[in-house]
Amino acid sequence: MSNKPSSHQQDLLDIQRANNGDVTGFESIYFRYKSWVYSLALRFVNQHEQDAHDVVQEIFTYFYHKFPGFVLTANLKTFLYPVVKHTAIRFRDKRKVEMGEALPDTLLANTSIDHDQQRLALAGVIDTLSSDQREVVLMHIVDGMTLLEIAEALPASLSTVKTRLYRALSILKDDPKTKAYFDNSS
Amino acid sequence: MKPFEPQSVLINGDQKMQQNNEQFENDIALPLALSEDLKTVFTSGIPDHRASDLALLRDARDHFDKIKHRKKRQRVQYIGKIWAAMLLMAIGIYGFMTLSSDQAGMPVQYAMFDIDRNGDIDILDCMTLAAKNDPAAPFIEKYDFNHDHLFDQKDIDMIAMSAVTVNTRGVMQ
Repeated sequence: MSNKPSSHQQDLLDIQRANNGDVTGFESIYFRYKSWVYSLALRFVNQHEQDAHDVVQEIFTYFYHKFPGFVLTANLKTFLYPVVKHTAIRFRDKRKVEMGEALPDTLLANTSIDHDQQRLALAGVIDTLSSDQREVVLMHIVDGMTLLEIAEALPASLSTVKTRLYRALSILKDDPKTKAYFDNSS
Repeated sequence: MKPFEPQSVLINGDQKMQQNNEQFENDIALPLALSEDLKTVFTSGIPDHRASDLALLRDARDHFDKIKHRKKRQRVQYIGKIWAAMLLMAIGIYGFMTLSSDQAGMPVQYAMFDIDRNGDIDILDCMTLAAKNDPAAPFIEKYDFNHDHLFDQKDIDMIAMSAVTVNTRGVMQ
Protein backbone atom coordinates (compact mmCIF):
# COMPACT_ATOMS: atom_id res chain seq x y z
CA MET A 1 0.00 0.00 0.00
CA SER A 2 1.32 3.45 -0.91
CA ASN A 3 1.96 5.91 1.91
CA LYS A 4 1.77 8.88 -0.42
CA PRO A 5 -0.77 11.35 0.98
CA SER A 6 -3.89 12.11 -1.06
CA SER A 7 -4.20 15.49 -2.75
CA HIS A 8 -6.44 16.74 0.07
CA GLN A 9 -4.08 15.44 2.76
CA GLN A 10 -1.18 17.06 0.93
CA ASP A 11 -3.13 20.35 0.86
CA LEU A 12 -3.72 20.09 4.60
CA LEU A 13 -0.04 19.42 5.27
CA ASP A 14 1.00 22.36 3.08
CA ILE A 15 -1.51 24.65 4.76
CA GLN A 16 -0.23 23.61 8.18
CA ARG A 17 3.33 24.43 7.10
CA ALA A 18 2.24 27.76 5.64
CA ASN A 19 0.39 28.60 8.84
CA ASN A 20 3.68 28.05 10.67
CA GLY A 21 5.39 30.57 8.40
CA ASP A 22 6.98 28.04 6.04
CA VAL A 23 6.81 29.50 2.53
CA THR A 24 7.40 26.09 0.92
CA GLY A 25 3.90 25.06 2.02
CA PHE A 26 2.47 27.93 -0.01
CA GLU A 27 4.83 27.30 -2.94
CA SER A 28 3.75 23.68 -3.09
CA ILE A 29 0.08 24.73 -3.33
CA TYR A 30 0.95 27.39 -5.89
CA PHE A 31 2.67 25.01 -8.26
CA ARG A 32 -0.03 22.37 -7.80
CA TYR A 33 -2.98 24.68 -8.48
CA LYS A 34 -1.80 27.57 -10.65
CA SER A 35 -2.51 25.73 -13.90
CA TRP A 36 -6.02 24.82 -12.76
CA VAL A 37 -6.68 28.38 -11.60
CA TYR A 38 -5.45 29.65 -14.98
CA SER A 39 -7.70 27.27 -16.95
CA LEU A 40 -10.66 28.13 -14.78
CA ALA A 41 -10.03 31.86 -15.09
CA LEU A 42 -9.79 31.53 -18.88
CA ARG A 43 -13.35 30.20 -18.99
CA PHE A 44 -14.66 33.34 -17.34
CA VAL A 45 -12.50 35.98 -19.06
CA ASN A 46 -13.40 34.98 -22.59
CA GLN A 47 -10.08 33.30 -23.19
CA HIS A 48 -8.18 36.51 -22.59
CA GLU A 49 -4.81 35.11 -21.57
CA GLN A 50 -3.42 38.26 -19.96
CA ASP A 51 -6.53 38.63 -17.80
CA ALA A 52 -6.36 34.96 -16.81
CA HIS A 53 -2.75 35.42 -15.87
CA ASP A 54 -3.60 38.50 -13.79
CA VAL A 55 -6.36 36.51 -12.08
CA VAL A 56 -3.81 33.84 -11.13
CA GLN A 57 -1.56 36.50 -9.61
CA GLU A 58 -4.41 38.12 -7.74
CA ILE A 59 -5.81 34.83 -6.46
CA PHE A 60 -2.52 33.62 -5.02
CA THR A 61 -1.71 37.03 -3.56
CA TYR A 62 -5.12 36.96 -1.88
CA PHE A 63 -4.48 33.39 -0.79
CA TYR A 64 -1.09 33.89 0.88
CA HIS A 65 -2.49 36.83 2.83
CA LYS A 66 -4.90 34.32 4.41
CA PHE A 67 -1.91 32.96 6.38
CA PRO A 68 -1.42 32.53 9.26
CA GLY A 69 -4.72 31.30 10.59
CA PHE A 70 -6.13 29.81 7.41
CA VAL A 71 -8.41 26.82 8.11
CA LEU A 72 -9.41 24.59 5.23
CA THR A 73 -12.87 23.21 5.94
CA ALA A 74 -13.46 21.65 2.52
CA ASN A 75 -11.55 20.68 -0.58
CA LEU A 76 -9.14 23.43 -1.68
CA LYS A 77 -10.77 23.56 -5.13
CA THR A 78 -14.11 24.14 -3.43
CA PHE A 79 -12.57 27.07 -1.56
CA LEU A 80 -10.79 28.50 -4.59
CA TYR A 81 -13.52 28.05 -7.21
CA PRO A 82 -15.84 30.91 -6.17
CA VAL A 83 -12.87 33.21 -5.54
CA VAL A 84 -11.45 32.54 -9.02
CA LYS A 85 -14.86 32.83 -10.63
CA HIS A 86 -15.74 36.18 -9.10
CA THR A 87 -12.27 37.63 -9.62
CA ALA A 88 -12.30 36.54 -13.27
CA ILE A 89 -15.78 37.96 -13.84
CA ARG A 90 -14.59 41.24 -12.33
CA PHE A 91 -11.67 41.32 -14.77
CA ARG A 92 -13.96 40.47 -17.68
CA ASP A 93 -16.44 43.20 -16.76
CA LYS A 94 -13.64 45.70 -16.31
CA ARG A 95 -12.33 44.86 -19.76
CA LYS A 96 -15.82 45.21 -21.23
CA VAL A 97 -16.08 48.71 -19.79
CA GLU A 98 -12.55 49.69 -20.85
CA MET A 99 -12.85 48.33 -24.38
CA GLY A 100 -16.49 49.31 -24.79
CA GLU A 101 -17.00 46.04 -26.57
CA ALA A 102 -19.85 43.62 -26.19
CA LEU A 103 -17.96 40.52 -25.32
CA PRO A 104 -20.02 37.36 -25.53
CA ASP A 105 -20.88 35.83 -22.19
CA THR A 106 -19.30 32.52 -22.96
CA LEU A 107 -17.19 29.83 -21.39
CA LEU A 108 -16.17 28.48 -24.76
CA ALA A 109 -12.51 27.72 -25.05
CA ASN A 110 -10.33 29.03 -27.80
CA THR A 111 -10.91 26.19 -30.16
CA SER A 112 -9.06 27.74 -33.06
CA ILE A 113 -5.98 25.96 -31.79
CA ASP A 114 -7.83 22.68 -31.81
CA HIS A 115 -8.32 21.31 -35.31
CA ASP A 116 -10.19 18.25 -34.30
CA GLN A 117 -13.69 18.53 -35.76
CA GLN A 118 -15.37 16.49 -33.07
CA ARG A 119 -13.85 18.60 -30.33
CA LEU A 120 -14.91 21.75 -32.12
CA ALA A 121 -18.41 20.37 -32.33
CA LEU A 122 -18.31 19.44 -28.66
CA ALA A 123 -17.18 22.92 -27.71
CA GLY A 124 -20.00 24.34 -29.85
CA VAL A 125 -22.62 22.20 -28.12
CA ILE A 126 -21.24 23.02 -24.68
CA ASP A 127 -21.59 26.68 -25.62
CA THR A 128 -25.29 26.17 -26.31
CA LEU A 129 -25.92 24.95 -22.76
CA SER A 130 -27.20 27.45 -20.23
CA SER A 131 -24.39 29.04 -18.24
CA ASP A 132 -25.47 27.15 -15.10
CA GLN A 133 -25.51 23.79 -16.87
CA ARG A 134 -22.19 24.51 -18.60
CA GLU A 135 -20.59 25.46 -15.31
CA VAL A 136 -21.68 22.26 -13.56
CA VAL A 137 -20.56 20.06 -16.48
CA LEU A 138 -17.11 21.67 -16.55
CA MET A 139 -16.72 21.58 -12.78
CA HIS A 140 -17.62 17.91 -12.67
CA ILE A 141 -15.82 16.65 -15.74
CA VAL A 142 -12.93 19.02 -16.32
CA ASP A 143 -12.18 20.06 -12.73
CA GLY A 144 -12.98 16.62 -11.30
CA MET A 145 -15.11 18.00 -8.49
CA THR A 146 -17.68 15.79 -6.82
CA LEU A 147 -21.34 16.76 -6.79
CA LEU A 148 -21.13 17.74 -3.13
CA GLU A 149 -18.06 19.90 -3.75
CA ILE A 150 -19.83 21.61 -6.66
CA ALA A 151 -22.88 22.25 -4.50
CA GLU A 152 -20.68 23.77 -1.82
CA ALA A 153 -18.62 25.89 -4.22
CA LEU A 154 -21.46 27.44 -6.22
CA PRO A 155 -23.34 27.44 -3.75
CA ALA A 156 -26.43 25.47 -4.70
CA SER A 157 -28.36 22.53 -3.36
CA LEU A 158 -27.20 19.07 -4.24
CA SER A 159 -30.42 18.30 -6.08
CA THR A 160 -30.01 21.47 -8.16
CA VAL A 161 -26.52 20.39 -9.14
CA LYS A 162 -27.77 16.93 -10.07
CA THR A 163 -30.61 18.35 -12.12
CA ARG A 164 -28.34 20.73 -14.01
CA LEU A 165 -25.84 17.99 -14.75
CA TYR A 166 -28.51 15.53 -15.78
CA ARG A 167 -30.16 18.02 -18.13
CA ALA A 168 -26.85 19.11 -19.62
CA LEU A 169 -25.87 15.52 -20.35
CA SER A 170 -29.29 14.83 -21.85
CA ILE A 171 -28.74 17.72 -24.24
CA LEU A 172 -25.32 16.39 -25.18
CA LYS A 173 -26.79 12.92 -25.63
CA ASP A 174 -29.57 14.19 -27.86
CA ASP A 175 -27.50 16.59 -29.94
CA PRO A 176 -26.50 14.98 -33.24
CA LYS A 177 -23.04 16.57 -33.02
CA THR A 178 -22.20 14.91 -29.69
CA LYS A 179 -24.51 11.90 -29.81
CA ALA A 180 -21.64 9.80 -31.16
CA TYR A 181 -19.81 10.01 -27.83
CA PHE A 182 -22.67 8.20 -26.09
CA ASP A 183 -23.31 5.75 -28.92
CA ASN A 184 -19.67 4.72 -29.03
CA SER A 185 -19.52 4.20 -25.27
CA SER A 186 -22.45 1.78 -25.12
CA MET B 1 -42.30 0.81 21.56
CA LYS B 2 -38.88 1.32 20.02
CA PRO B 3 -37.03 4.35 21.47
CA PHE B 4 -36.13 7.20 19.15
CA GLU B 5 -32.46 7.11 18.11
CA PRO B 6 -31.60 10.38 16.39
CA GLN B 7 -27.88 9.60 16.00
CA SER B 8 -28.46 6.34 14.17
CA VAL B 9 -31.12 7.98 12.04
CA LEU B 10 -28.63 10.69 11.12
CA ILE B 11 -25.91 8.20 10.26
CA ASN B 12 -28.32 6.18 8.19
CA GLY B 13 -29.48 9.39 6.50
CA ASP B 14 -25.89 10.35 5.61
CA GLN B 15 -25.15 6.87 4.35
CA LYS B 16 -28.28 6.91 2.25
CA MET B 17 -27.37 10.30 0.77
CA GLN B 18 -23.90 9.03 -0.06
CA GLN B 19 -25.37 5.94 -1.67
CA ASN B 20 -27.75 8.14 -3.65
CA ASN B 21 -24.87 10.27 -4.89
CA GLU B 22 -22.85 7.23 -5.87
CA GLN B 23 -25.90 5.78 -7.62
CA PHE B 24 -26.44 9.05 -9.46
CA GLU B 25 -22.81 9.22 -10.57
CA ASN B 26 -23.09 5.63 -11.82
CA ASP B 27 -26.31 6.44 -13.65
CA ILE B 28 -24.77 9.37 -15.47
CA ALA B 29 -21.60 7.46 -16.27
CA LEU B 30 -19.82 9.65 -18.75
CA PRO B 31 -18.28 8.29 -21.93
CA LEU B 32 -14.52 8.33 -21.51
CA ALA B 33 -13.96 10.01 -24.86
CA LEU B 34 -16.31 12.84 -23.91
CA SER B 35 -14.49 13.44 -20.63
CA GLU B 36 -11.11 13.42 -22.30
CA ASP B 37 -12.17 15.74 -25.11
CA LEU B 38 -13.78 18.15 -22.68
CA LYS B 39 -10.61 18.20 -20.61
CA THR B 40 -8.52 18.81 -23.74
CA VAL B 41 -10.73 21.64 -24.95
CA PHE B 42 -11.17 23.36 -21.61
CA THR B 43 -7.80 22.83 -19.98
CA SER B 44 -5.06 25.20 -20.95
CA GLY B 45 -1.47 24.95 -19.88
CA ILE B 46 -0.42 28.14 -18.19
CA PRO B 47 2.10 30.06 -20.25
CA ASP B 48 5.52 30.41 -18.72
CA HIS B 49 5.62 33.75 -16.90
CA ARG B 50 8.75 33.17 -14.92
CA ALA B 51 9.23 36.80 -13.97
CA SER B 52 5.77 37.20 -12.50
CA ASP B 53 6.02 33.79 -10.81
CA LEU B 54 9.24 34.92 -9.16
CA ALA B 55 7.75 38.26 -8.17
CA LEU B 56 4.73 36.59 -6.58
CA LEU B 57 6.82 34.03 -4.75
CA ARG B 58 9.25 36.72 -3.55
CA ASP B 59 6.34 38.72 -2.10
CA ALA B 60 4.97 35.53 -0.56
CA ARG B 61 8.38 34.77 0.97
CA ASP B 62 8.48 38.26 2.54
CA HIS B 63 5.03 37.70 3.95
CA PHE B 64 5.91 34.29 5.39
CA ASP B 65 9.19 35.63 6.81
CA LYS B 66 7.14 38.19 8.70
CA ILE B 67 4.89 35.41 10.02
CA LYS B 68 7.94 33.43 11.12
CA HIS B 69 9.49 36.44 12.87
CA ARG B 70 6.19 37.30 14.50
CA LYS B 71 5.86 33.74 15.79
CA LYS B 72 9.46 33.81 17.06
CA ARG B 73 8.84 37.14 18.81
CA GLN B 74 5.66 35.81 20.37
CA ARG B 75 7.55 32.72 21.57
CA VAL B 76 10.28 34.88 23.15
CA GLN B 77 7.66 37.09 24.80
CA TYR B 78 5.85 34.02 26.07
CA ILE B 79 9.03 32.51 27.54
CA GLY B 80 9.93 35.91 29.01
CA LYS B 81 6.54 36.12 30.70
CA ILE B 82 6.97 32.64 32.16
CA TRP B 83 10.44 33.54 33.48
CA ALA B 84 9.15 36.80 34.96
CA ALA B 85 6.28 34.96 36.62
CA MET B 86 8.65 32.34 38.01
CA LEU B 87 11.02 35.04 39.25
CA LEU B 88 8.20 36.90 40.97
CA MET B 89 7.03 33.68 42.57
CA ALA B 90 10.56 32.93 43.76
CA ILE B 91 10.93 36.43 45.21
CA GLY B 92 7.55 36.12 46.88
CA ILE B 93 8.35 32.73 48.37
CA TYR B 94 11.78 33.94 49.54
CA GLY B 95 10.23 37.04 51.10
CA PHE B 96 7.57 35.00 52.83
CA MET B 97 10.14 32.53 54.12
CA THR B 98 12.48 35.24 55.47
CA LEU B 99 9.68 37.21 57.03
CA SER B 100 8.03 34.31 58.68
CA SER B 101 10.87 31.91 59.45
CA ASP B 102 11.76 33.59 62.76
CA GLN B 103 8.13 34.11 63.64
CA ALA B 104 7.00 30.60 62.70
CA GLY B 105 4.50 29.30 65.20
CA MET B 106 3.97 32.69 66.80
CA PRO B 107 0.28 33.64 67.11
CA VAL B 108 -0.59 36.26 64.54
CA GLN B 109 -1.90 38.73 67.10
CA TYR B 110 1.57 38.81 68.81
CA ALA B 111 3.72 38.89 65.67
CA MET B 112 3.39 42.69 65.43
CA PHE B 113 5.06 43.05 68.84
CA ASP B 114 8.19 41.22 67.66
CA ILE B 115 9.89 44.48 66.67
CA ASP B 116 13.38 43.03 66.19
CA ARG B 117 11.98 39.97 64.37
CA ASN B 118 14.00 37.50 66.36
CA GLY B 119 11.02 35.21 67.06
CA ASP B 120 10.61 36.31 70.70
CA ILE B 121 8.63 39.08 72.33
CA ASP B 122 10.84 40.35 75.09
CA ILE B 123 12.39 43.36 76.69
CA LEU B 124 14.59 43.88 73.66
CA ASP B 125 11.47 44.63 71.62
CA CYS B 126 10.43 47.18 74.23
CA MET B 127 13.86 48.79 74.13
CA THR B 128 13.95 48.85 70.35
CA LEU B 129 10.56 50.45 70.19
CA ALA B 130 11.38 52.92 72.97
CA ALA B 131 14.41 54.03 70.95
CA LYS B 132 12.09 54.80 68.04
CA ASN B 133 9.74 56.80 70.29
CA ASP B 134 10.91 60.26 69.37
CA PRO B 135 8.17 62.92 69.73
CA ALA B 136 9.81 64.93 66.94
CA ALA B 137 9.63 61.98 64.56
CA PRO B 138 6.60 61.54 62.32
CA PHE B 139 3.79 59.30 63.49
CA ILE B 140 4.37 55.61 62.61
CA GLU B 141 1.02 53.92 62.36
CA LYS B 142 2.27 50.36 62.60
CA TYR B 143 3.52 50.99 66.14
CA ASP B 144 0.18 52.43 67.25
CA PHE B 145 -0.92 49.13 68.80
CA ASN B 146 -3.81 50.57 70.82
CA HIS B 147 -5.15 52.57 67.86
CA ASP B 148 -5.30 55.89 69.70
CA HIS B 149 -3.51 57.61 66.81
CA LEU B 150 -0.47 58.20 68.97
CA PHE B 151 2.83 56.34 69.19
CA ASP B 152 3.67 56.67 72.88
CA GLN B 153 4.53 54.90 76.10
CA LYS B 154 1.19 53.06 76.11
CA ASP B 155 2.15 51.22 72.95
CA ILE B 156 5.52 50.24 74.44
CA ASP B 157 3.74 49.06 77.57
CA MET B 158 1.58 46.76 75.46
CA ILE B 159 4.72 44.97 74.25
CA ALA B 160 6.02 44.79 77.78
CA MET B 161 2.72 43.27 78.88
CA SER B 162 2.85 40.71 76.10
CA ALA B 163 6.46 39.88 76.87
CA VAL B 164 5.68 38.92 80.43
CA THR B 165 2.38 37.14 79.77
CA VAL B 166 3.10 34.89 76.77
CA ASN B 167 5.97 33.24 75.07
CA THR B 168 6.30 33.26 71.30
CA ARG B 169 3.83 30.38 71.03
CA GLY B 170 1.24 32.22 73.02
CA VAL B 171 1.82 30.11 76.17
CA MET B 172 1.89 31.73 79.59
CA GLN B 173 5.36 32.12 81.04
